[in-house]
Amino acid sequence: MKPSDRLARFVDALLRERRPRRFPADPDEAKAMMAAAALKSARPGADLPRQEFVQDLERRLAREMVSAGAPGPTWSRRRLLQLSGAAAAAVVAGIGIDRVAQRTDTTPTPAGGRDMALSDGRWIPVVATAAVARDHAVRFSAGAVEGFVVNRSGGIHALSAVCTHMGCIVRFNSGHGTLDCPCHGASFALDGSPINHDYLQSLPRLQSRVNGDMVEVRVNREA
Amino acid sequence: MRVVAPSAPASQPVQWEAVYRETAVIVYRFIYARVGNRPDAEDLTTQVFIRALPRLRLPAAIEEIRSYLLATARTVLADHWRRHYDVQLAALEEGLPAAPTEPFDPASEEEGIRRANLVLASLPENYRHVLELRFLRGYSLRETAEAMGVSLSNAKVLQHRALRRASGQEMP
Repeated sequence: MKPSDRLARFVDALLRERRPRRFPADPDEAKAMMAAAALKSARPGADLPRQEFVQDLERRLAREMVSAGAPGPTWSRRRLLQLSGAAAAAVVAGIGIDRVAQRTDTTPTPAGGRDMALSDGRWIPVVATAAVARDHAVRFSAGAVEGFVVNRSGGIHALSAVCTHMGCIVRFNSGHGTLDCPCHGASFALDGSPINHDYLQSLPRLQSRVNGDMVEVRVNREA
Repeated sequence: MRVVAPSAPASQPVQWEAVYRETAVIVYRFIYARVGNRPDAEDLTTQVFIRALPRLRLPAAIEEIRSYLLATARTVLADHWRRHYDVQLAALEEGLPAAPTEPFDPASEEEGIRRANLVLASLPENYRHVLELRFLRGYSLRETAEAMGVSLSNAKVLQHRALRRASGQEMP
């Protein structure tokens, strides 16, 4: 293969964000390849990492550092919980992290989010059913549980209020009918699915029911 | 093996998580400018953190953590270029953009563009044109050939010569 063909193939891979093939290059050829890499990275925004990658790597590092008992940097308990997404919200909801981790490994919901169900819990009344207008959400705190009771086209359900990005508490935006995070701008529909960042996990659903004129949410016994 | 020595009083909690988010972007950008594609940049960034983290001792100043991570990145990159292309990285490093000191710094962003423009501006017209079409506009080789009114194989040769010239090599 001619040198110009080899270099062209290398450049093609870069421009398509693909991994170039390996080949033994002579030093001058390699310099031209380096120049190509530098030119590619000069395009505005081209050299910024995907947010998803940064977070996945953090999750992996946190896990490996913890399991190896390595003496290096450690993640705070709070951050570990945030990183584990549904598990984080589950702990806020008073569920043990181990149980949720087990559950979520096998039962992802179609939206990529995870619902939280309890075999061992109690029902707590949180909001008057009449207080939740159609296509609105009402915030509640029940012990350690931070959530919203949502009336979506007449159907009542409850969602965790803990943003699956970094663990801030989302707010109801009545103008848009969305749950918005004040920290980094994540936005969720009233069914919990993320709107503006499709790599985010959905807000986990909490078990809820209408009992008389109250909406009840199921939390574990300690909560 | 280099170990980052403690430099801050232990009573001052280091916000490692914030340090991670900042340095991850810095390391990624440093590597990206030297591999030019996302899959390699993600792999190598991962390798840097996997290797460096168990050797980091906190608390340490962010500058120390950053320079240790970048030193690790240089090793990982040298390894990559040696294994994939059988070349020594040190010989290739001249004239490359410096490591960014901020995760997203508009100034360094402009610096990159300025440098690229500078490199491009120093090239003869047809060399500059082929690189602009390919790297700034993302044209395929075929589209580039059409836009320049040359054959596909001519465009390929032009691209080859332009990149060698852009990397500081004298070409006929």
